[in-house]
Amino acid sequence: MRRMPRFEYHAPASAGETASLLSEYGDAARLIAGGTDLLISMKQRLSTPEHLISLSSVTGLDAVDYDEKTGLRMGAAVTLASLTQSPPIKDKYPALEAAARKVGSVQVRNIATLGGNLCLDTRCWYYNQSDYWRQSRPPCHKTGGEVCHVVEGSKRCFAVYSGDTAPILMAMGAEVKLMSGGGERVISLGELFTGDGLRPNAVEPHEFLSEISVPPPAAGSGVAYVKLRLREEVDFPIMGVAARVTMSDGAFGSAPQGFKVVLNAVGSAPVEVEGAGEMLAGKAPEQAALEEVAQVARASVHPQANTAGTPEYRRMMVPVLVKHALTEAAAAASS
Amino acid sequence: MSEYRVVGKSVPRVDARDKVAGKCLFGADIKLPGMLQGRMLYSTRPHARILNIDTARAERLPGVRAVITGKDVPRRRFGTIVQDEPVMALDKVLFVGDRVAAVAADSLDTAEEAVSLIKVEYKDLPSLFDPREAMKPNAKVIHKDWESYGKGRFRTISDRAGNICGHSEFSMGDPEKGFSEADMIFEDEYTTPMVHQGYIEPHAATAMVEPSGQITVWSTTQGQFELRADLAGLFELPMSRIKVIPTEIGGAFGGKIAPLLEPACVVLSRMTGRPVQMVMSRRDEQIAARPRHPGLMRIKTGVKKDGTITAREVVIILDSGAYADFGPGAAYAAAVGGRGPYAIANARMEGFCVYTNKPSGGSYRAPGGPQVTFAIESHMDAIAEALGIDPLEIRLKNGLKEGDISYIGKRIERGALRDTLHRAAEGIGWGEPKEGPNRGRGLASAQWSNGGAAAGLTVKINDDGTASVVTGSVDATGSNTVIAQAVAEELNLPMSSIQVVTGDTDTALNAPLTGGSMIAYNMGKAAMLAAQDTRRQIMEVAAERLGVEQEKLRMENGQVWVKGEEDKRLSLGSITRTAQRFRGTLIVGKGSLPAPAPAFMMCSQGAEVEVDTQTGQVVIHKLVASHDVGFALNPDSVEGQLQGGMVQGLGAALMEDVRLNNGNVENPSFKDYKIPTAVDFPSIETSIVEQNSEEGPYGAKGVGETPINPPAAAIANAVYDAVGVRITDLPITPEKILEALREKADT
Repeated sequence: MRRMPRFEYHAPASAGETASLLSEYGDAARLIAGGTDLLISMKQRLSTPEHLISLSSVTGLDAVDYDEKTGLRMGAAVTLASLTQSPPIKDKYPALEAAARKVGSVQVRNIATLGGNLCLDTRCWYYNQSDYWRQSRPPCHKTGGEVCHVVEGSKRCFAVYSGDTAPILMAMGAEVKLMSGGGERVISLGELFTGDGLRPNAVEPHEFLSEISVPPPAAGSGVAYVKLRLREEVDFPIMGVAARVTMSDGAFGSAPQGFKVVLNAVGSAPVEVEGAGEMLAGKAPEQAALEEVAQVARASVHPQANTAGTPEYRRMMVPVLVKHALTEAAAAASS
Repeated sequence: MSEYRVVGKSVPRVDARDKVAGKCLFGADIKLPGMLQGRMLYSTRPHARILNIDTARAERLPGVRAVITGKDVPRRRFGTIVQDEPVMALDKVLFVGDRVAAVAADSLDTAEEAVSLIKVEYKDLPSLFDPREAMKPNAKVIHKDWESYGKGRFRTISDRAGNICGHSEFSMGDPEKGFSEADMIFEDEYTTPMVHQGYIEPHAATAMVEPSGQITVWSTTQGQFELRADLAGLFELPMSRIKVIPTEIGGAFGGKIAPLLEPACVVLSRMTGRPVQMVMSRRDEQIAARPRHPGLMRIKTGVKKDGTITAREVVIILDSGAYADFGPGAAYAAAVGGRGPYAIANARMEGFCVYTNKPSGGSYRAPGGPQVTFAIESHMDAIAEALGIDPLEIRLKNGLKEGDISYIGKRIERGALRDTLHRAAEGIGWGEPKEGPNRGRGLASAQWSNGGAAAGLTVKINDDGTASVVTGSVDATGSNTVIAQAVAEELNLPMSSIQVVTGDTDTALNAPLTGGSMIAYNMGKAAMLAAQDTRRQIMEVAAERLGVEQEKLRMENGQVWVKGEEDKRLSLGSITRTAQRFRGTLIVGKGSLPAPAPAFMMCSQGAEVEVDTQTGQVVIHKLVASHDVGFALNPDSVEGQLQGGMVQGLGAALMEDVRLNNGNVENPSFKDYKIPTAVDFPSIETSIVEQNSEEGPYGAKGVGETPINPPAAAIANAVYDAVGVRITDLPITPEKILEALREKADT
């Protein structure tokens, strides 16, 4: 891996200043928060921005607030470590704390931010290599070429999204705020992800992700994120599943919207399992009900040979992890 | 054991404080005035002819001081066993990672930029990635001049032909007859992938060539004398013209022996007249260093119904990669120990090391050992299962016992294998009820021998009565602490009075390289002898000054006095000063020994695991290692070696795998090449068996290598015990376990 390419560093103090720098430099600029993903990609020459705009001095971006009526608001630059230590999160959103703990290592979590984890670039065994390494093959779609080394003949990029905080936040119905010189827009977290391996998120070059908000936990609801990996630290998921369920008198709640199942690291975006609520609502939380969702989930994804786990294995793990996640979420709801 | 005061005690490592405080100077910490930074350009092709190398753009870049290719370096080749490796590719590249060109520049950024501006035109050639294909008689020969290659320093009993760069064969008794006497014959095949040492400190070298031509090299090498010999050979210079200074070493495990950077640094320094430093990046390390050879083991064993082994046949094929390096030695070691720690009268063993277009393997902690041990010890359990015999019993029944002869020709005096087996079994709760379903326990035993090498060092008494020791051995394992302990023991001085420094090739007596579990065994002995020599000299002077016979003197805590006359005493400082001033005698003890016979070690390890039958994941609940170490010179250090070796073995068992894609390492980082972290395994319980060696210091044997041999089989056997599937191909990934469980369910 090579050393850092040249760039100009900017440290705006406010959101407004950030927005104006972004509109000034556009595509030539990249935002940097923790830098745990970006700096490596710069050393690998996957990204060579002329300008780096740091979010670390922007006031208010590392705040965490909780209100019983409106729920949780987290600045995009809050570190994963401080997220795991934040009293309202530990108290009201223990599954989010647990998911954040599954990212990287202690050292990574100390500087990596929530916004950065959500905006994690998609990954693949060819793309995430040094420029020297990539020279042994023609460039792929994501590195400016016209081939895919994962799916031969493919016209699109299949790189995998593997951020660990997105699935659980999606399961909890999170929204994100995108700011720009022209104002701000709020979209659901699910809408942040394009599903395109090439450009995995919907943040425009002149925008930046400023805030993540999560509704207050509904009565009787429980969430969980399970992550499968080869080693217990510093490892991206082979695959992961987040689930939210609502319990009522020992059975699943009757409202379908109380349920959500999100699959991770099986495609270019987290994948929400459609119809999970209808399949689960009002049922007894037993294997039969879970199995139906698990099989639908399995049929809904088509993992490719782009990460450490083979597609066959990851596909095989979908129903297993869906059931684990639902069971854990049900236990969390009941406790 | 209590007869010793310092040896046999867990004294803290002499280098611990500096290492913890970040004060040690490692290879990349060397900074010299005017020093240039060098970078290497590595091949991107697995096998190709070099048509042209265009360095013009790189040379024009401001700040670039020199660019070199194969044309600028000595044409001679180097190699520990076979001299087959060029300093830089001459006309062909043989793997992705072969050295093609190098740059020296004012800064690292400039050097890297320059390297990226070098354009190499290749004509691709067909690649050989499978040693089984490469060893076929009609296979294209990768090294067409193989017959002209010279022999390296390390002599191993092997021959070579074409792509087979090492072939060793052994047989004993009458294998045919042995198999014909068997009630049952078992045949299995096992495979292990390429795994990397994963040392934290990368290779670093700095060379300075004086206008006179005198060369000084600072290197992370494990053996400064071997490196000097390599450089003297390549540059055709007398050894006195080259000084090699070993720096502190941040992990090596056998990976820092071959001169990967030093010759290029010397050439670049010669051309520029300035010191040149090169430090490998992690990516460089993962693609262009010297990992463990992938292995294919075919094993066949004849047994009686009661479990007695009547014959064994083992064939080991190691994938050498582009160069031989230590591969033929690894194939030899795997073959010669192919019976395992068992008494088998009739056997035939054969080891091959075969060139392919992959990264070259080298020496990694017990070269050849883990591959063949995984096969032998998995196979032992498979036999036990088929015969309905307890795995512990079949090992006890066949294990080397008193009077048996080990593979290195030593007669076994006591049942060390039996002791380690009993302790490992007890530690792991063998035979006791398990705490839940899908839990299993596995045992694996192993053997190894340490090298015996001629060794020497000096001990000097300072004017204040403290002692300074200069050793030519590099301290990668705590060996300087053990050397200090031996000197403190013999001179009856406190540890705080002993200073041990690792000397360079000019100041230190010749010493073996740090490898082959050699340093405590050989240099520890040299230290003991040197201190005894020092003591003799001190006593001679003291006897003269005190006017008594030497036998009447006692030496303790820096003082010599006449027994029974406590007031007639002299300090070591006074003895040293007066000896020098009035007698012209310098108190300098020298200890040297001819190469001793190797010592033979046996061990057993145990693991308890739990397998998640839905995901295939393995959770380790308990780990035990029981080893015969001869005599534990420093029990804490020994425990650290056992635990460290076992963890490396467990990494290879469960997750480590240098994955190649058309010859290109697909996971050249610690993120993707997964070595275990502290949270992955429970702590390892160790149990030390001490069956003294004949020639090691205080009865010690080598410790460093043996513990990496059994872990993979212990885990494989535990997984089998847990869920009834046998994984024969490392690493034992969740995916392989699930696949095996599915196959089992289908049948």
